[in-house]
Amino acid sequence: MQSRMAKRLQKDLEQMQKSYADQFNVRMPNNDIKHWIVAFEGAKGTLYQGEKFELQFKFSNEYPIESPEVIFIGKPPEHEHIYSNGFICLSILFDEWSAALTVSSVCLSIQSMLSSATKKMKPPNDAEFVKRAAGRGPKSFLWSYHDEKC
Amino acid sequence: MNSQKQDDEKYKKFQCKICLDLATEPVITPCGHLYCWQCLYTWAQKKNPLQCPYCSNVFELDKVTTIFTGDSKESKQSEIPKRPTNPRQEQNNSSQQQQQQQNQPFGNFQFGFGFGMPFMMMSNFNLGQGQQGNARSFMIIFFIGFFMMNFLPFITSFIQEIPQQPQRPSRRHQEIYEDDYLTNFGISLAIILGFAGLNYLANKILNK
Repeated sequence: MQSRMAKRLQKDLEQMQKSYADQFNVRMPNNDIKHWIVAFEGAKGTLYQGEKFELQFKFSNEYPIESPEVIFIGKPPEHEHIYSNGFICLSILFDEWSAALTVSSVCLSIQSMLSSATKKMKPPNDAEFVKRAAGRGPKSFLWSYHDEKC
Repeated sequence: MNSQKQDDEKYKKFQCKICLDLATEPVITPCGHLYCWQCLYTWAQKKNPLQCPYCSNVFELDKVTTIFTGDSKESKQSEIPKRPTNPRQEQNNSSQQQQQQQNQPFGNFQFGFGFGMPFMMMSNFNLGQGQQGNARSFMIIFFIGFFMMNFLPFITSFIQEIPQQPQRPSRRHQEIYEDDYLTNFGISLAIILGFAGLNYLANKILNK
């Protein structure tokens, strides 16, 4: 199990560095293959153009069967589905995770989520959610993906 | 190391979509996507209902097709069951019978005919008294026989499940069977009407 996770992450890394080197910059702060930080910029021609963001990926030993834990660190983008503590409400990170998804496809999904935004706004229940989320991981929530709640 | 890289490129077409490595113990889903058996099995334990990770098609794990490869060594880990066996179809007698049935346009009809005919013959016996009784019993028994002759084939065909469908019946085959039943029914109807007419005539003549 351990080896499959490590092997698969190696492939993910290769893919990121081969095909998306100009978009995403990967680093492993503790030299730990299970902990990545992906830096990227808001796409040109969108509301987030030029802004720099950092995503933190944490992988379990079950990856890619289990989804990684993905949050924004540093200053998160102001977006309807991104809470100020960096949690992202995106179905593919939770219920709709598929073992065929890769780090690069997750990054692309998040970037396209940002790019398709028409106005910058925080989630309606941001303050309440952040208070509730203190000390919990994003995967401990039962997310519902309706715009009003998420 | 270099040749390893080349191999990776070469076999990229045959990579498992979960581990992104060359698929070991490969299986293929009904939607046509290739996985290692171990990867797909592990995924299936988590995902219920099972969906193809690549295209989200819902399917059952035992519906995958096992691909036999050169090395053909089975998994060493005992907690993972063996890959399912692929469905096979032998050429056997039942398929020949089926062909025969197709060649005979009304195979079941003959059975009904054979069954109903004795009753029709019985109608010749004198069961009543006098001319009138004779005519009435003739008609009743004749009609019992006739009824059986025409409708027995349908009843027995439902009971016996005579057309042994192959595991994956093609649509064309089924249409042929349906056509058969329809013509059978049409012929029976024509015969019934014809004989009903005859009977009506006979009735008139007997009653004068």
